[in-house]
Amino acid sequence: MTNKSRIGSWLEPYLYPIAVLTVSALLIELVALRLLTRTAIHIPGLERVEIGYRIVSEVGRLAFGAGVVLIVSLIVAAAIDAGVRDRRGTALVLSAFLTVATLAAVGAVGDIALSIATTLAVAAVPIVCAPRGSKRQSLARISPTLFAAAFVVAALPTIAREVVPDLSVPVIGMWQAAEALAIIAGIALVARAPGPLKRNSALLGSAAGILVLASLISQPSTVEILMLWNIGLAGYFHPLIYSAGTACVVYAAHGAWTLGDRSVAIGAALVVAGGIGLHSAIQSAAFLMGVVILADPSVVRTTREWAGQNLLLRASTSKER
Amino acid sequence: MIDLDRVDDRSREKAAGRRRFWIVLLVALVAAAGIRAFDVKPAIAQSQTLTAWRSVADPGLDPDNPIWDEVPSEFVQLTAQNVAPPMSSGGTPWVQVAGLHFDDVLYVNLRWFDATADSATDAVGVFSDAVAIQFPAVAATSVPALCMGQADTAVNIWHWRADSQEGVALVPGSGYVDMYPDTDTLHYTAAAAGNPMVSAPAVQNLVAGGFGTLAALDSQVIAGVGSHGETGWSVTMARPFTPPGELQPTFSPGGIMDVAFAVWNGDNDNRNGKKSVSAFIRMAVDDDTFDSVGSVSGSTASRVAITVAFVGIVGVAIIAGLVATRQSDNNDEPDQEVPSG
Repeated sequence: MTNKSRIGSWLEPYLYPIAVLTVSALLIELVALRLLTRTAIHIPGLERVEIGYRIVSEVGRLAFGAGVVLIVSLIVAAAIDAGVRDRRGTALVLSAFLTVATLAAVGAVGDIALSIATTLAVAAVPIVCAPRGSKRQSLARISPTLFAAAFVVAALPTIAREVVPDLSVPVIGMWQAAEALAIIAGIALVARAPGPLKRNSALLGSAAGILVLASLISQPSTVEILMLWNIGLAGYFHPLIYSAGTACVVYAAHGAWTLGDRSVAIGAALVVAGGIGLHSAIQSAAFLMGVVILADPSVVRTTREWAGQNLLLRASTSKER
Repeated sequence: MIDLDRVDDRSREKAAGRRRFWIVLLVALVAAAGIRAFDVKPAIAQSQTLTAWRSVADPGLDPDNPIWDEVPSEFVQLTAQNVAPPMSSGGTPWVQVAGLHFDDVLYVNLRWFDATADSATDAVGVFSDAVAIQFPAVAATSVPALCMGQADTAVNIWHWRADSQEGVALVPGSGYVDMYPDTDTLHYTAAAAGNPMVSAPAVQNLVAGGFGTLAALDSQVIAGVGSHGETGWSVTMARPFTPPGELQPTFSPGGIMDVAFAVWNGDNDNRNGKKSVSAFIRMAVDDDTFDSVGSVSGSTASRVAITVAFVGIVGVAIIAGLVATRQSDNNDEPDQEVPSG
């Protein structure tokens, strides 16, 4: 056994637990810190529930810390794993982002270098990470490609103004375009739902879509501001469009999950936790990793899949003997 | 017949899978506790950055100073505040913001479209146009940004109001209010009660630590002037770098901090919490100068050159990766089926 395959076989089974825990930590942070504590601060009489508020706030901060550690670990592990498996494109994109992020963290390069590297890395994902081949694989590439495009379009005004401050950029139009691309990407995720329409997944997706529609119609401003703060969408379009996007994402994620493909749910959750556009290095890392997983699902294999492959390997080894 | 070795293998793999979950979870929690305990800032903000350039001449408070047409500005997305009552759509989609500093004074210019100038609140149900800038009370960037503040994190707010700038009309133009002589202010109940809003400056210097905690600071040192035209409002606010007291950020060249904005459209019944607000973006106080011809001296060429070089290097690396991946794809054997069950 070579060193390369030894590292690979040791690391590979950790990818799935790291990915699932990363998603859990980032979603807890999203709900507890970005959503609950910031909403609760506006509630009159907060002092009466201050202990509860502070507990939720601490849970959110702890989840944020865990999310930081886990997303970095996930990117490192996925980059090494991709390198071991000769998925050089995925390894290169993740390594490039990690390198520039590390340099930015220690102050060796400016924040603008990280913003450019992040945007280039996200733009490169559909080109270099997604496997080529069948028509099905081509369809599966549509969603990550559109998500990546949405991120790039949303990030470009920020980068352009940093690089050439006097440049005139149609900012509002680009933000609207990014938002449209993100919603279409969510709808296109249906292509990742395997096989014929699944009843339970369709019901769950419809329920999520109806919930979003009802929220946006009954409390448009509340939902829109939370969308802007948390996932970078300002709510430019009709509520039906966001409802359709949500329904498709939930349908695809649940449908794939029930058939053992966890990558759609993990990838979509990371994309949501990261949000569209440049917010922070950690959110960008989550978005990048989410798009990578959507483009190249082999990055996270479940324990079951890993065990299956391991058994196949053992069977073939024993046959050879 | 059941293959017992296979069943054993699966049970072992399942147990190993669970063990790995617990190991990863434990390591992550220990690391997270360390991050929290030592207050490490592990993330780098990447949001929009408003740069306040050094000005070679005093831009002054005139909001119509042509220099504000030349200074690079940021369009900041706004959306309605509807978390705390009163609430509903603010109706202002964006605000254009630019910053300059001269002689250790920070100037911020804000422009937004509003067809009507609502600057006289002389009747019930009539509301004023206004704009506000919000900084963390202690200059810093926080990731995730604290947005509207948290219970343990105060914010400093500069609040310009069109009606305060206009001044409160003590006697309506149409004549007497009642039989009291106009020299007697007793019938102006707010003034008689000592409501500070009666004589509030055009820009109020406020501090808040959450809903219901908004209070005026003793030192009202924020200067500001607004002007309304065909394209809407233009408002300039200014304050010296060094604050007169606590709970107000200190500005300095090279400093970066969070900043957020809010706009009230009186014609749209906006008042109090009924407004359009932004998320926090970053504000950088830059020592580079901005001259009157509208270019940033000394830095643009080098920024562009560095960016082109950087994009080139990363681009070549990505193309190399693409070529390598294609070769790797071509060499790949067809995927093996994973056994089910």
